[in-house]
Amino acid sequence: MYYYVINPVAGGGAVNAIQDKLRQRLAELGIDGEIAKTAGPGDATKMVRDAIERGFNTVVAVGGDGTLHEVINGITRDNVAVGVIPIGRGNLIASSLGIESWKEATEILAARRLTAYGLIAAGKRYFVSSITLGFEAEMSESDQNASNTSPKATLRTRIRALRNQYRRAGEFSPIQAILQVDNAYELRAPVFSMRISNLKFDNPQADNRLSISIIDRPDRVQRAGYLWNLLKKQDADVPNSTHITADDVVLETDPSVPLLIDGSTEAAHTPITIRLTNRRVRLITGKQAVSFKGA
Amino acid sequence: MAKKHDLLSVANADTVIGTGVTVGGDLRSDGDIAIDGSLQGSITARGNVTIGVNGIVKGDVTGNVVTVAGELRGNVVAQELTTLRGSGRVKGNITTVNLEIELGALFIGRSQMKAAGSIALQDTEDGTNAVK
Repeated sequence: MYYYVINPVAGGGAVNAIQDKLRQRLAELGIDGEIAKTAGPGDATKMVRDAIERGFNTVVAVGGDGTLHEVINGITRDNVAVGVIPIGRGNLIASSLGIESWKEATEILAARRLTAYGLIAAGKRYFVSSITLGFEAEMSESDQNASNTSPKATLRTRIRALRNQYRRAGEFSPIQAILQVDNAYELRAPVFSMRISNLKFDNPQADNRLSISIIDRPDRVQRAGYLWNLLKKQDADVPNSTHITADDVVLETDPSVPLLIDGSTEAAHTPITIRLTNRRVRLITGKQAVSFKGA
Repeated sequence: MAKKHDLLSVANADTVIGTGVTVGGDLRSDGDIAIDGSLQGSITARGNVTIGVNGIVKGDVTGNVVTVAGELRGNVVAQELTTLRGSGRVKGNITTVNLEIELGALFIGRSQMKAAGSIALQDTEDGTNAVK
């Protein structure tokens, strides 16, 4: 039984333009079900919990990364499958799962290829992909949308946005961060950008383990490379950055800074404890194992 | 952040501590470890350990191939090879199967050469590694 959670404001209301076609396509593929719309932040989590209590075994987030993040946090049983139909522009997780458009998403839902990912606890929330802090997290949503590959953005707009981002990156003051890693050692670093992710999310054949990447003080060339990778929605890494793996970290910064969780501007700040859990979520993906990074 | 040409090639290490980063405590890994920052504590790796030209380590280092291009104050135990690059400075004892010291390197301590296969890492009950 399929339960579709639609965020009506995702992508500036883009779902409204396609919902009739979407419903028709789902019916054609035999995967139609109950459709519900959220009324505000936090709604998706509650709706998913109720749906699971009522017996639904597949829940689909129709929206951006924020919608998917809320849906994942509503999963209360390991046997529930989670899918995504990306709407709008903030769909890094869907893209990582090999899902680039709503049409493609319906085919992938019908194919139902499941991969189990470990949930990572960040404070009281769970996430499946990554937490970022520093420059990437503090870039405004409008900056990100203006610089993406939306067909409506002119070349001049994109170049202007990129130039603006490059200037802001040069002016960004690194944040002082302290990580307590696995209760074994302490790491102190000036942070331009930090990303904490699940190794398994990049490669389903890897173990569930935290991967922490820190860019401390990039030079001009490294900054340009970093921004270019962000634009292409690739790993925003630079040579000679710090990489460690862990099961849990306690992250503090001076001053406290906001965190981007699974691409969502969730209301989370440092200090925060991030740890692997025994909980799993089964995601419906579009990728074969060989197409994941490191495979 | 150090320029690329200043560093040894450490891109494939599982654990990389970059320049400007400080670590306090013991680092352990089943893979390779590369340090170009500061570490106060021991390093234990089943793979290779590289201390880059900007790296400063105060503690013992245990690994398969240990390469020092920076500063190390502590003992080295290498199952296969220890290399001191020309920029390397080691103050401590070295126990290894093979030892290579480039012109310009500084080594203050004692070296002990062992037969191949005679140095093995053994997990002890308290989780530390001991040399067999």
